[in-house]
Amino acid sequence: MSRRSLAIALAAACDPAPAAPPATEPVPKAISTAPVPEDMSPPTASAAPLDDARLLAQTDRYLGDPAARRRALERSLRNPTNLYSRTRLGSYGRGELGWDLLPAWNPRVQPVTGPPPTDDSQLRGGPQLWDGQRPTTLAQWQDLGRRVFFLYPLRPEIFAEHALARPDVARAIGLHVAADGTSPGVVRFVDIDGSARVGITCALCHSTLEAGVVVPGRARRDLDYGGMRLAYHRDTGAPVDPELARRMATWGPGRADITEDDDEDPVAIPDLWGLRSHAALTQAATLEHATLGDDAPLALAIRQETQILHANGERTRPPRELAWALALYLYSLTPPARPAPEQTAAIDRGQATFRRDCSHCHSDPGGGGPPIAAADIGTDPALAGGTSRGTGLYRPAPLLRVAEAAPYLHDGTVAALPDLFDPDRLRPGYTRGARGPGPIAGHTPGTELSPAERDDLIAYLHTL
Amino acid sequence: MPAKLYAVLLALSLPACAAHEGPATGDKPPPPPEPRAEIRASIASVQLIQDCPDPPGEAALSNAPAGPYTPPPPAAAAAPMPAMEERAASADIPQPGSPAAARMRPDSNWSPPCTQSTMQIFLPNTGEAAGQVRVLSVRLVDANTKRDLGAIVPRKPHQWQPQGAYQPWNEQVAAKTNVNATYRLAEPDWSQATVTLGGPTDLYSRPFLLEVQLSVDGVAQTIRSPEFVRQQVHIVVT
Repeated sequence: MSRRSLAIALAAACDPAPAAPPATEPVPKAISTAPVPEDMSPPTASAAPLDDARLLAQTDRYLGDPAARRRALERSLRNPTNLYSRTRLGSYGRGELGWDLLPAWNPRVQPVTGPPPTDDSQLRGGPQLWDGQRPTTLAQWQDLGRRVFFLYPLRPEIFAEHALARPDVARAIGLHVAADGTSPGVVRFVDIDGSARVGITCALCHSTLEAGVVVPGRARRDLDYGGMRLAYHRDTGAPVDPELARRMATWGPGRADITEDDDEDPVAIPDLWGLRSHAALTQAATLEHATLGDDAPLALAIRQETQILHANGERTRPPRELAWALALYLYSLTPPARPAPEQTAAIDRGQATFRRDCSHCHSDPGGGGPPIAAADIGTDPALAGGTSRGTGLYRPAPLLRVAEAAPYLHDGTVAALPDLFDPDRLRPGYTRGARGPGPIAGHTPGTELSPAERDDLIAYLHTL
Repeated sequence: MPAKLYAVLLALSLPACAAHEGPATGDKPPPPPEPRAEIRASIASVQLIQDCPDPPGEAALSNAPAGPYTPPPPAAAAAPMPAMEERAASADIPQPGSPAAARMRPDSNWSPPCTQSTMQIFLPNTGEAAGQVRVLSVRLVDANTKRDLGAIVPRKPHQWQPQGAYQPWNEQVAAKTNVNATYRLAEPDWSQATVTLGGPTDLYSRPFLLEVQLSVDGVAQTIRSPEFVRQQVHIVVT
């Protein structure tokens, strides 16, 4: 496969969040040790990314077939014994028990533009997020999904409200203001207790501003969620557990602990590009995805539906049309256009090195691939072995725009691509880690290369 | 038919006629059965996080919507953000130890962050009469061992309104209607639960159930929730 065709193929692959730690032994369904095709084509036909028509054809199965949803859930959960899986198996698609019985909530919501107004009447009298009309075309679904991505509140967030009231805090922790005056990822909405609140949405972590323009899908790597919370406690005097304060301080920009348990396993916010080819969702490969064929979009929509209802306190669920729209929108996300990279001899050599040394794991059209045993990759095992979402596995990181995706590894501990392939990273005395001095274990492929080979490989990775 | 047989048949039929006519009520048919509520409750969800103070001035039971929220004004003073490595040890970060509300800075217009524990119950009434619901008890159960870990006190019943909000509820379910109800939950006695579980254990990494006993018009029914996990207060689970 040529560099250009790989780049095009890559325009289809990243995923939402990751996860955590263990009480029961994880039971991985599969561990990838298979050799990888040289052209990085999908390992099986069933893993071929769905085209638009096939995606759209699954709409009625998700919206109208409870048995299909339940089956897709069960097929997607790689380790049915972790907490993420147990909760969903116990509550989703149960018919006369669980989350199906929650009321569907279509909130009244507005983008945030400046300090909170003292008069809520415009918000309360304004439209709901969805007009109740079910889309019929893919473009309509994606347009609705974009609204969900930017506007559907995941939960009220007093810390973001505080930061918005303090421009210095907002700037410092990565709450940006777009050219139209909005702050992507932060909304005002009428909460389910009738109060007007500030809330956060998907776009808080998964969109950025570049030259004033919103880029959906890009991880917001300067978002310091822990810093946002600490600023609130500092400014208001609200007490916080010192151990919690310590943990939040260590997250730093672009990372947060998003798992259910008490383990310390913050993860780097991922880009959301090229999702269709992702073999697994979450960095710990909690959910199978592309290999599910027609059930893949159902699995993604269920992930979004359950994420939203859980984050909102499990007191309501989103209308299923909104979860489906969000999934179809996420599948449409691609990085911003850029000029085609100039072909050079170094890039060609780097591509050859990639095929020889990297494509065993980074094997699919998005540069990701089937999950790898955490013990084999050797990076910090807390997430993969955790009770919360652990599977014993990590997914190979998708590589679309990988050169712009620092810091690296699932936990964001490696500062830059040269560091990833630097053998010194594995040794005591290493000082360039993104999270402080000390060796950073794991992901050794590339560290045996000569300096010239490393430079060539990095040149190639810049083209993806 | 011989006359003797007629006499026998007549004698046999008289008591039947008398029974049909009833005791001195003439020709009225029996009254139809009393309309009754037919409610089979189910638990939709449970989140155990924190127990928060109820909003001041909240009506105990009324159909009035919750009071409008007043957004806090911007803070006046702007302190610089400390460097990341300094934050955890910063003396500016208040420590717990007394009720949060009492420790907010006097000049602060902000409330202590708190996420209320709740349970949601679905109550479909297929009957011809309204039903009166009462929650009699809520018990925390370990999902793995099914051990009873103690009581949880519910309060403040609310029901979902089509316009998109939970509002105070009198625990009545009208005939032929469904109610999506929510109750706030107090904290269980976690220390006692730990003892019952056999000693120190990670209470955030094990599944629980709620067992709820409620009555509908005085008739008890017991329902169990799906499994759930106790929630950390510090994370945004995604």
